Amino acid sequence: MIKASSSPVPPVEDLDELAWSRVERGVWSRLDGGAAARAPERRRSWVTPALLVAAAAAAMIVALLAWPQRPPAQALAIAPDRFVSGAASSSVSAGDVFVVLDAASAVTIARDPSPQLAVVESGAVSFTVAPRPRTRPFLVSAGDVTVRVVGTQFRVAHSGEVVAVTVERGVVEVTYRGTHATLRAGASWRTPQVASAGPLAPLAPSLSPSVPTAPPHVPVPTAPTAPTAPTEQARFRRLTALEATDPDAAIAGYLTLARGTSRWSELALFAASRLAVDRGDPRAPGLLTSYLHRFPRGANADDARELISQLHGVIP
Amino acid sequence: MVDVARAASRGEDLALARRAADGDREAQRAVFHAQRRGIHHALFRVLGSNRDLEDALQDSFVAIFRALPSFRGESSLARWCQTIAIRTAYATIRHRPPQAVELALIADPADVDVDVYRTVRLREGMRRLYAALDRIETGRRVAFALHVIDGRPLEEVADLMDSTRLAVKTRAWRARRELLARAGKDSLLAELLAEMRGVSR
Repeated sequence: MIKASSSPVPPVEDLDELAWSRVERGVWSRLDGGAAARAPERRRSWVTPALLVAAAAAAMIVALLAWPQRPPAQALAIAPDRFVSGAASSSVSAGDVFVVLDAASAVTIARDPSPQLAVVESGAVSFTVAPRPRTRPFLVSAGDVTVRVVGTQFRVAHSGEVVAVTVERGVVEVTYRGTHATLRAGASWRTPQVASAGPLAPLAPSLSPSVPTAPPHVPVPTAPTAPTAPTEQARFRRLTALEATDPDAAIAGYLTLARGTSRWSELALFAASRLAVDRGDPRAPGLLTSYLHRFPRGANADDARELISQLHGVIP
Repeated sequence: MVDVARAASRGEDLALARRAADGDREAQRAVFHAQRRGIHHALFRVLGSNRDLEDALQDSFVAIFRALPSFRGESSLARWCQTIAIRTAYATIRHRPPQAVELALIADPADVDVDVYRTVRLREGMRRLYAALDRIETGRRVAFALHVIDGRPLEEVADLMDSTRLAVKTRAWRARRELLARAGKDSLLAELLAEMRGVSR
């Protein structure tokens, strides 16, 4: 029998701050850019064409009247916006793209919609891009690296010759000196430190995208460290950086982080699985199975299944 | 005294709502952060879990900010926001497929700690309850979720549903009757419904 001391109803389960952050960004993004696109469909009637004709006529009249006063820089409507953060991080919405700049970062965003382009000049910038058609991608350029995205959340850091890309949600395509790679949620990638290097041979394939290709001490700018305990996101990023120097410690850290229930736990468990596969660690099949058991519809579930298939082909 | 405090609070709500309606992003953020907990609570009870909740929250807040110019301070901003959130929940419920009802095995109580056993049974019971709620009329589901599951007074639920006390009571009663019929031989769901009847009375 269900014997309840007070109420038989379990308490409401809180959303984690990462989820709230996604919700908030989505709201501002839709309020800033998507109002027209998401307006409810209205019932058609004979009035609509008449109103459209009247509106078009009115717009033409207004345009003609306004023409002499129009400033010469009408191109400003599609001219790029440049955003520079100071000592603290800052955020801005550009259409349906929400941008968070770390401290001392600069980004230029062109408003021309096809394709929309952002250039990370320096520092680190996180982008949240609302889903969009493949024919109208959002491009981020940083040095020799171009990131192509059709709807996701990711971060690009640019310092000198070094560019690092971290994907939090969705999928992005990275192009570097003629080489392409697909990065999925939880994956990160960075350029080598040597500027004269040619096309990056070990540019990670889509199934093992987060194998770092850079020397361990590449200076990538990050937000000032808060004195409080690191967030799960910060822990995840540190572990990603640790993969190059101490993969066993990185796996152990991922598995600790994976004990929770947040999105970062899911990403951590997959990262541990993927790293174990890359290193031929005998725990790999068990970790992948555990991932699919816990997150059968997770962002990396398809990849996990494919990795298991590959393992079955390799391991007798 | 209470009326004076309430009037002052409504005045603050109205001032904040007007600033937010004028596009003041700081005011919009203040509304978002002040209301997010209450809206999440209401949506969680109506939808049953955090599945689909991020989308429902986004839809709710977008609808709230678009409707803010019409806020007149006749009710508290919290109640007004939750009313809109409940309306958006209707659309969420109608557009998502019903959950599959898979009966889970539950360990014998002799093998596990009593609290763990109770928690597992409660969670499984709630899962079956919401799976059954997915299959009944949306208005009845919302009335049942807010009045019986969440324990809100009929008057408050009537406000949130733009309805009357009597209509809410009738919907909740019909929902319970349908749920009991659907429970059939599912003793866990039947027990949970019986417990809820005791609490909500």
